[in-house]
Amino acid sequence: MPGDNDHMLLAAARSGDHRSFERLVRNHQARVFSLALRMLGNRADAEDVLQETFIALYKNLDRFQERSKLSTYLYRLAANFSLMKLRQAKAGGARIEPLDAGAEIASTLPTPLERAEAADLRKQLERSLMGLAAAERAVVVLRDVQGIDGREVARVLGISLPAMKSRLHRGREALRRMMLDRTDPEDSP
Amino acid sequence: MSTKHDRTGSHHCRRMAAVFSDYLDRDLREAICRKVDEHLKQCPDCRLYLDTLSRTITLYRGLGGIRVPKNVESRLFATIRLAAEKNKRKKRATR
Repeated sequence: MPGDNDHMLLAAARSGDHRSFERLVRNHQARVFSLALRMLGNRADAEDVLQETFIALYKNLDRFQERSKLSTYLYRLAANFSLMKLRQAKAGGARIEPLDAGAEIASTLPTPLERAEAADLRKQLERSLMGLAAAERAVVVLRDVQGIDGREVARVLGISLPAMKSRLHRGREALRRMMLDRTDPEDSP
Repeated sequence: MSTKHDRTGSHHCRRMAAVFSDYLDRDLREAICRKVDEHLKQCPDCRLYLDTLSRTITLYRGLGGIRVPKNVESRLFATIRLAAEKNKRKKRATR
């Protein structure tokens, strides 16, 4: 189980085994980076969050007591760093750009046409995500894109389960409307 | 994906729509779930609405992960090594 593996790697890393810490990073970095990139829509900021998250883990290795799963802890750090960046960007008047199509999204589609269509669709989906309010985006990314259980999402974001559900509902509904507006413009109110 | 539910839905439909997200997540009490099922049987607008909501969620579930580019990973490991060195020096200094 990955959790057991995390436990062993954490113990080794705490005793100073740097390679174990690097293995932990390798095991979790894609999830952290995906969350940050989808929250921020900007690769440079997502890279900052990736670094801040793992440096925070490194500095708190002794304090992290594994009462929650490591992935929950990392998601919480990454979500908080991302929200902080969004607040700073808003205060500074910066515009958040939608995730670019060049992002290295895992794809195993067989034909070039299907690949191109899928890339267009992904671009559209990522753009719509960036159209959500940050609080709703965080919930939708964690729950629907990353596939985390609802209770876990509430724990990651430090909100109640009803609040999580309410944000999820609003986010999904907004995305549904955006998808409809794009695929069927004459049907929009 | 097309639905006119947003404009024509009754108050009852809107109340139902408020729990569709939980309905799709199978996170509703059985009694409420039965009410939703009954309503869906009679309401084509809500069926269509639920279908578009479900398709949207499915699309997002299929988005997939994003690989960390090699250069980003290299910079991450370099930053961690720096932090580790700093930590070692700090420990040595406090001995």
